[in-house]
Amino acid sequence: MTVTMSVTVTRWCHRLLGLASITGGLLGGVIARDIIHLESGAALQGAIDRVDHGEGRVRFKVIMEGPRGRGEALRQVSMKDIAFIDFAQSELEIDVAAGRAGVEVSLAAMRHLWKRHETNLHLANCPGGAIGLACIGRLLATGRPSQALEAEEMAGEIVHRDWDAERRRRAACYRLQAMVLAGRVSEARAEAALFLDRADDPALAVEARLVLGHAAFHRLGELVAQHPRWMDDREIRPQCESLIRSALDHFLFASLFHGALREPAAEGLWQACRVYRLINKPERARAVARDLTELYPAAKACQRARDYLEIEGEARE
Amino acid sequence: MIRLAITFFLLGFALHPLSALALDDGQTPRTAEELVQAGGRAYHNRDYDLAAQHFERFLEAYGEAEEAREAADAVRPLLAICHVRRRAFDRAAGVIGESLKQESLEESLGLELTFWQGVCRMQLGDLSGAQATFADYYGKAPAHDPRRSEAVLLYGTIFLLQNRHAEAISFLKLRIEEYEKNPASASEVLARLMSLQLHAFLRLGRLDDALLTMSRTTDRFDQFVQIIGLQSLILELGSRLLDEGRYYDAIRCFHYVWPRDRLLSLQAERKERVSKRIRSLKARGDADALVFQLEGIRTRIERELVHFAQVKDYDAAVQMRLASAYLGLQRYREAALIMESMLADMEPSAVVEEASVTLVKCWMQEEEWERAAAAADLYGERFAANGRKAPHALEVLFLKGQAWQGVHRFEDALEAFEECVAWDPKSATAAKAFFMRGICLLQMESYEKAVLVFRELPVVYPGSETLVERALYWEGMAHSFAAEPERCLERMRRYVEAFPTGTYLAEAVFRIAFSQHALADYEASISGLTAFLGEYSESPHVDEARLLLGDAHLARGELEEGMAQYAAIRPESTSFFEEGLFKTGEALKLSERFGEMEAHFQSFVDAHADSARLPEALHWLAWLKQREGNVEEARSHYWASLDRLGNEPDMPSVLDLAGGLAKLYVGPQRPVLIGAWRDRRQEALREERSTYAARCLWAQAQAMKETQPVQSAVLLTELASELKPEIHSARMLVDAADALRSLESWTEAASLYREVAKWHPDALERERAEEGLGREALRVNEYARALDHFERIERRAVGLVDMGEILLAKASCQRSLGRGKAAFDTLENLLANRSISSEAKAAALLQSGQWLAETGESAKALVYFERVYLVYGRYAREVAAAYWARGRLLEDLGENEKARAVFSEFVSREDLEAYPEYARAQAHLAR
Repeated sequence: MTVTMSVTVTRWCHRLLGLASITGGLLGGVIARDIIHLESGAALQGAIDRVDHGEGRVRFKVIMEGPRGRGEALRQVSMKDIAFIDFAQSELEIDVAAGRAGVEVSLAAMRHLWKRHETNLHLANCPGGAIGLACIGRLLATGRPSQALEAEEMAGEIVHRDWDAERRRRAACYRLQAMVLAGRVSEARAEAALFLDRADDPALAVEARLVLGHAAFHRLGELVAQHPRWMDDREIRPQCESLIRSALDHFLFASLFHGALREPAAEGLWQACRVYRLINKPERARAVARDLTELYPAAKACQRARDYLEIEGEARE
Repeated sequence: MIRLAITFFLLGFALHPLSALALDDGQTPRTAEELVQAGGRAYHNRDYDLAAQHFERFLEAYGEAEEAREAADAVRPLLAICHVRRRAFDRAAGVIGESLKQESLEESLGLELTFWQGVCRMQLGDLSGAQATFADYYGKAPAHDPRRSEAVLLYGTIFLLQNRHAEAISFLKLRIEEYEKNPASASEVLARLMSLQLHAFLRLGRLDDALLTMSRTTDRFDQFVQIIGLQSLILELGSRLLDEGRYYDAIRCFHYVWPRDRLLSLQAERKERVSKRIRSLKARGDADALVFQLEGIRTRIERELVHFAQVKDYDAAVQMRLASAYLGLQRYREAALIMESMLADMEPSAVVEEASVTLVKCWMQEEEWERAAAAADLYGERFAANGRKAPHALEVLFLKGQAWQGVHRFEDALEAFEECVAWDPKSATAAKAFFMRGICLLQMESYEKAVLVFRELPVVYPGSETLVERALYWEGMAHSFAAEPERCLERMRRYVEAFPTGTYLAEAVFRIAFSQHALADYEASISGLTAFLGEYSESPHVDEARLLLGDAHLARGELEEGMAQYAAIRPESTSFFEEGLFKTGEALKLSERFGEMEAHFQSFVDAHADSARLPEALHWLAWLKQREGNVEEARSHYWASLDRLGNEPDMPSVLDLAGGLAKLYVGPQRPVLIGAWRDRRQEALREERSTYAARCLWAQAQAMKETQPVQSAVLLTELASELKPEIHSARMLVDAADALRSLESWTEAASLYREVAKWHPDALERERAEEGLGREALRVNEYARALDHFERIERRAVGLVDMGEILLAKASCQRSLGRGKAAFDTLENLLANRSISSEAKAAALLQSGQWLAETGESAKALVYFERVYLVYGRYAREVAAAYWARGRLLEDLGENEKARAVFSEFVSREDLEAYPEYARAQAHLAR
């Protein structure tokens, strides 16, 4: 049983045992204080003062409230004794971690939240990774290489230190996207190549393929722009054909081998359609667009395909 | 169960008067009490065989006794449970029946026994009885009873076992709706109901309903304990949809069929989790019902695993079906990618083998020839290596040969076909491959070898009539391609005789006449071609035949007959049509029918302005007018066409018209031409005919080139800003760029050269553009870039630039990059190339000698220097340098006498006085 699973099981066990002290710290969804749940079943409420990773200890300010007022005490808790920690989280932090933060939450605010939790990523239950992923998503959405560098760094931290496997996977995917956006396509390609055959993680393998497909498509676009009559150019044509092949292979991968991963599969088909449009093969483009609308009618990319087919239909009439 | 234990305890006291002794373990029980106690102990220890044994003995011995009735009533249900646990359903059924008759039977126990009665009946084949029992149970059991769901499932299952699928569907629909109201509490039951529903829909062929059910399962696969069973149903659904040609629906199904390893791994993990749970519950000791339920789950998982392990080639079958669906949609690339993965990753099997053959064909369909060949090679490695005889090895080899042909790698194709023949020489495929060897050799222009192959085929494969016929025809064609008309004639005659209804009969008849024509046997060729045209009017060779027939008539002086044949050539044949037309013009010229000739060419000019031969026609019209002394009218033909076509970007022949027109304005008339172009340009600019205006400017510059080169260059630089590279000709672009370069506007020139490469990559003028870019790079010492351009010219070798100059420049770049040996090799290639000018060779010898001297190969260097002035004496600059270099080298080697002799010879050449080396040589002699 992995650490994550044991935490989850233990956590639910503790909850089942109905520790009233937990509910004292939980106000609706907000967690007002840090709560350390010990392996013994006891729980300490207060605030984390410092995490000493080297010594494997947490310096914790225990807060006790009683009829005679409030008391505090500093305590060193060994990591080995800790089952998991409920980190204090404001409503904002909870929303950001859950991916519910709207545009009204500034990037600066998200960065601040990330900084708060960054050093504790490896601690079970730390929301830092989720906050980081939300921040990365926002950075990448800007489309700016300068933001991409920051996103890549953040993603790297999560990949190497976060306690949650799913977050590590998503961060690995984001990291690839950030590298491509930052213009470090060949590095992204090399890293993506390592994930290509991840049978244990199809989503990561699919993401890696999309990155590689985008890298090939991007280069193809550059060549076609520089050599619009590439079909007649004896030297450029083989280069273009190789890139076309590579882009199509990578883009079609998800729909052919992991067709149940709806969004990346649909996205891959849409990108394949774009490849065919770039090289002026409208019949092929229409065929792939039709495949997309038939196989993934609810996917985000589907509307783009429908719009394209509609325009094509008008054009042909 | 707890109540039963208490009963036991009580029984023990109740029976005490019947026996005073308690039984020790290990002793065989005899008395009623002993039997009950022993049975109870065994039951408690889950030794149901032993418990049943004791209980049966008790009931046999004491079951009828009045005083033991209470005990018997208590024991009987336990015995029933023991039989159920032992899976002795026939015995359990009887005991359950008896127990259920007991008035004293507790309600909950009775309910449980009712459930097991249903199970027993089901096991014993009384399906209707079982169904009734389950219905009874369902009606009586409280809502929270977990077995209630089990009863529902078994009730539904019985419908399916009885093939009452329609009733099953109705029943399951209601139950699913019921459970969907609270899915969290009954997720596994819901999952199983959906599986049953899917099964029923499939049995009834209601594929749309099955598809809908399937789509509802995909988000909850984790709730399906028997996931393999579900996936098998989905696979079956997909296969049925595939068979019906519903490819998208089939693909949707196959998307959700997991690979074998994933299924096995998941179920193994589940089994382990369930087993762990069972162990902990057994240790707890008070959860028999739950244990039994979990054991049932485990049993189902185990059965699935056992059954699944026997399924062969599961993954291959799934992938092949998916690929087939894409093939149905004619998505050959997609199908190929799937099958490529199968060939690369899966264990060799019959399914993978078949897929691999289809893979090669798919890549060929996509014209991905190299991938097809690679797939064929991989097939060979996986299925046909080390002497293994794979079923399709020969076919795949043959396809590989065709794939190489597709990408014009004829030598590789030849090799593949030869391998095919060697693999199984007697097979029909080998015979085809043998024939294809000949075709490859034809494509490689190895006509002699092709003839040998075609000649050999009937000997090796006499039974392959079709191939024998083809071989004979193509043997004749090989002779024709090799310009051996006599042999071609003989072969084709033999073909016609041997195959009077052959596939190539029409072609053979034509080729006979063609060969006769080539042998100047015009009478025979006329006869043959006339017969051919009469017999085969639909043949694609008709127009060529008419052309030849016209030629034959003309060769015999039969002009009218010849021209009549030319006139009958169809315009859509373009090259033959135009050839015939121009030959008619030639014939009219020869027969001095100048009026008709003029009308003839004028008609062509009017009707075929887009022809590449328009300038030629205009040339003849002009010639006619010049002949009459009417130069103005000659010019007017050109001007008329230029004014009409000058603004059409798609008419590149316009530039050739300008060239032809220039010949009508020679010597003192040249300024008139220049003025005419200037005027026309102004008019074109006013009329916003920008392309014509640009062409006028270009033509004006061309007209001024010899007499006013600088002004010509200035005009061309002015032209540069008006040019639209994507539509204007490469020639104009390069001329403008060259002019910019000549005036030292290197940046603008380079930009224009790059536009030529971008928009006219295949144009002849690309070479000039590459040279310009190379020179520009040299100018700024970017030797690697310059070298790139010069090497590109060398590869293309079209002939528009001086290859000698290019190779000299290339060598210079290589030297600058520190690659002296490479430079030397380049110069050696230059020297070996016959088409390169002597002047370039003189320069090459000199530079080679200099490099040899630098690298210490003095003896060789001396020879090179000497060759310059001995062989290329008229190139003064190189000669002077060579004399000086040789003399100095001799001095360095201490051979002063010889050096003096060289210098003396040098200074005796007064024609070399102007060169600085001359004075230096004199100075050395004076020392």
